[in-house]
Amino acid sequence: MFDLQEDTKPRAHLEGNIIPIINMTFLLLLFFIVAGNFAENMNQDIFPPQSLSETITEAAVVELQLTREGTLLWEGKETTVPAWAAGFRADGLPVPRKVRLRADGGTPAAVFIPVLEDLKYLQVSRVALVTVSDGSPL
Amino acid sequence: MLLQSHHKKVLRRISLTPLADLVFILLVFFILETSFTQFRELGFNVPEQKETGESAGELLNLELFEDGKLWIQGEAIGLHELGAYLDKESFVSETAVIIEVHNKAPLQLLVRAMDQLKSRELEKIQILPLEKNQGPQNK
Repeated sequence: MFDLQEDTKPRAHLEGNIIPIINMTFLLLLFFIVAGNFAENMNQDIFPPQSLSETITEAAVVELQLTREGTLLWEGKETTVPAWAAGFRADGLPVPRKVRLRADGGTPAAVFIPVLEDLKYLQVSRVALVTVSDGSPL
Repeated sequence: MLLQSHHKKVLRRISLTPLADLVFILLVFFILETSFTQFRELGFNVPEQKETGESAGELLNLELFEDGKLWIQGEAIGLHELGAYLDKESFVSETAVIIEVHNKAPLQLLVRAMDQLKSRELEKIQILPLEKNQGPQNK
């Protein structure tokens, strides 16, 4: 016959051993929550250029993304500069004067300059390129 | 008066296994979703053509090519030499800078050039496409 009853003693012993693991896991969890940033709506194929700029990116700024191939993305959806501006106008909002552009460092000028020209045409007065820190001296 | 129950108290331990499972799942989620990259911004104004063209101050014209070569005020230099050139010429911060970029030059090269200019307080930068697609050696 099988003994179907649980033996409580060895079980208590096992659970006693996993408590430090749970503690450590909680600490790791807290570390990731506190120290990290959420990768919000970011295209993983875009690697911004390296720069020595010290200005940290602000939240709540209109951000367009530009892939190396020339695909422009707004809130994760493919768009063009005129269509993006038309979206604002359709909602009764003014086209933002400041735009953040997250473009790949390898994007050729033939791709990114027309985007800048289109933004200029819409009277966007300031563009902030997203970059990553580079520690090399000038 | 009977205050104590006759029933034998059953001590039930709460199993920690589901808690451990949940914490592990949360940990995996945060590991995958969290980014430690600190993004920066390199801002520049997008002026109208006339703003830099009619500027009364000095004008610095740069042509940037895909191989990292620069054609600057009639002189061909490497991008790494731009800082030394700017230090030598000591432009005032009011100087308007026009960067004409060859259509194959990657954004990274432009950002490097802008870093050098901004670190010397040359902030009036205009970016234009280079219409004549030739290298500085052909000039």
